[in-house]
Amino acid sequence: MRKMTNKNKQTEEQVAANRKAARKTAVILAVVALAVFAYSVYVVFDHATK
Amino acid sequence: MSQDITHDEVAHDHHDHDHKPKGFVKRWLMTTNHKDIGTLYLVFALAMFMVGGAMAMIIRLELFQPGLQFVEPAFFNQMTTMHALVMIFGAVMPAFVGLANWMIPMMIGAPDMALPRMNNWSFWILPFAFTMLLATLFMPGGAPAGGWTMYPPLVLQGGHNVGFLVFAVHMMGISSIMGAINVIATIMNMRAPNLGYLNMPLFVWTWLITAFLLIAVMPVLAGAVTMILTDRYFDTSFFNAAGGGDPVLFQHIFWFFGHPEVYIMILPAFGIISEIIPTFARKPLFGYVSMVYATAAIAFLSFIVWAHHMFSVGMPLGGSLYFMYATMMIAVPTGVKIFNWVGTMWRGSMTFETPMLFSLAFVVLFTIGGFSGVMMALAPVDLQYHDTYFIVAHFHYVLVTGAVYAIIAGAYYWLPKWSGHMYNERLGKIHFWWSTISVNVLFFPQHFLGLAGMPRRIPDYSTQFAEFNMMSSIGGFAFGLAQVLFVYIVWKTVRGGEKATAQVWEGAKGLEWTVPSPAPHHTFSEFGPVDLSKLANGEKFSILSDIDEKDDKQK
Repeated sequence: MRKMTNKNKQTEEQVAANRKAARKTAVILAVVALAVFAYSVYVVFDHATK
Repeated sequence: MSQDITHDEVAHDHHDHDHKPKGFVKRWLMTTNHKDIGTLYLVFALAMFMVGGAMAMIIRLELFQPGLQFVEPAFFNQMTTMHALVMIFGAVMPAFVGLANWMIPMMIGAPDMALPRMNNWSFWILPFAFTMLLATLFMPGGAPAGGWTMYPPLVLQGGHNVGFLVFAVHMMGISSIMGAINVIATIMNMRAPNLGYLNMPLFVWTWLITAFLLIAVMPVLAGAVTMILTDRYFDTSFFNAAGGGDPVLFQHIFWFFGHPEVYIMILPAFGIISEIIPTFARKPLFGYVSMVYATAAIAFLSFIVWAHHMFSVGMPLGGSLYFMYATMMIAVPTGVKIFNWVGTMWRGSMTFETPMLFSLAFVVLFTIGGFSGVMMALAPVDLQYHDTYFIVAHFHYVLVTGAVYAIIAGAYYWLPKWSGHMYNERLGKIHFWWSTISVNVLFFPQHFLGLAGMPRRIPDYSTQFAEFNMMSSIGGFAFGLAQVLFVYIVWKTVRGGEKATAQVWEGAKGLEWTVPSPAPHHTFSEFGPVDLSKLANGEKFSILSDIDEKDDKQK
């Protein structure tokens, strides 16, 4: 019978750990998106008040 | 020593628990399954494609002959504006998100998207956004008519459709950003063990880069339209020149979003074509790594060329020169891609099934659109082309025979995997030839119209433009009818037909072809012994006995 190594086996626990890491990535990206929004509004505001 | 195994063997190894939720509400409204959400996106995109297509038919009907025949000029302007908004935000973008939802988890061996509930939310925002946008057609004063670019002061002169337009754009933007976050989080965190970044299929790579573009530019559009809203309803004058505002600033901000947006609509198309051509050429993709770098280079350049849309607005000579040369640089990485596709086909054992035909047409016709793009990059020449039908011809070659053709090619390519049935090849080929002949009759004469000076966004024109307009309209009606055939082919394939195997195509390589057709509701919950390092090069899967041996030695 063919053997499987831990190196390429993916268990449900690993998937759950990956999802947890994915949530952190998502929060960082959401903050980046909000910052881009705020900065683009700031640029217009700044231009309008000069 | 590696030992080759068949795709069906891997499919058996894959663990599936096919627990589809019962009932319409649970299955579709509350779904968190990436395949179901992918289907929802694709069905929505197809519906919007038909709505936007119907608007295009009205436009071509009015332009069939000079003079005003069928619609009022105001309604004509509403049609041009709504056609663009519906096609860009309702058809092309959701279609690519649908393909990403279906294919990315299966391509990287993930059980689902990283954030399934957010995935559901991303989709279900869209029908509300488009209901809101399309509802403006029934409002007093009608729908937005100032063009999809929403330039002030014209957009501010609209009725209350402005508020509906802005909120619809906000909702589309939120949906796109959440979808992009999900794609990035999935690719970065949910790849199967051993699957490195430079082993990922190119469709996954192009989507990863597209998702970063979306996060970088959609909030910019949201910011700009928010200030349009305050100008319209709260007496501010950010962009209103009458109150001391700067309408040109809006144009800069809009195109800082708008130009990367063009690449958001074409990079996933490059990914699809890069999957299909190696399959039907039966060769690994030529220059995989250079394809990845070319995609990244195009994405980077897309941020620094926006003002080439504004040469005619006026800017310092240095600015014109900079934007001209920067724009022309995009041809370099794009050329890399075209040559790599040709290199992949070179001396391949090619066959010409429908997905390959659409991909070949993509390569040729997208290149025509690319060439006219380089022509427009020339600042002094652009002053002649600006706001003429030459521009309309250019972006329709890029977006219809580019993005839409890639979506259609992808649909034919993956439809057997989704539905479990082969589509009718004969009908597929009829659809291809009918579409390809008619789309050229539709858009190629528009180059001549533009060069002769016909402006875009007008319901009537001088009689000197009559012949080419009639030709273009006939092509338009034929192309529209061909897409009805496409809907019939898809519907027929979903309903039944010849059973598809797991691999579907003889030359197909990749994890998605290891699962049965139709793909079970849950895939890759656990992962079997497949050597993922061979994926990108399109080599056969092999058992990891060599890695096992190394591990044994280490022990």
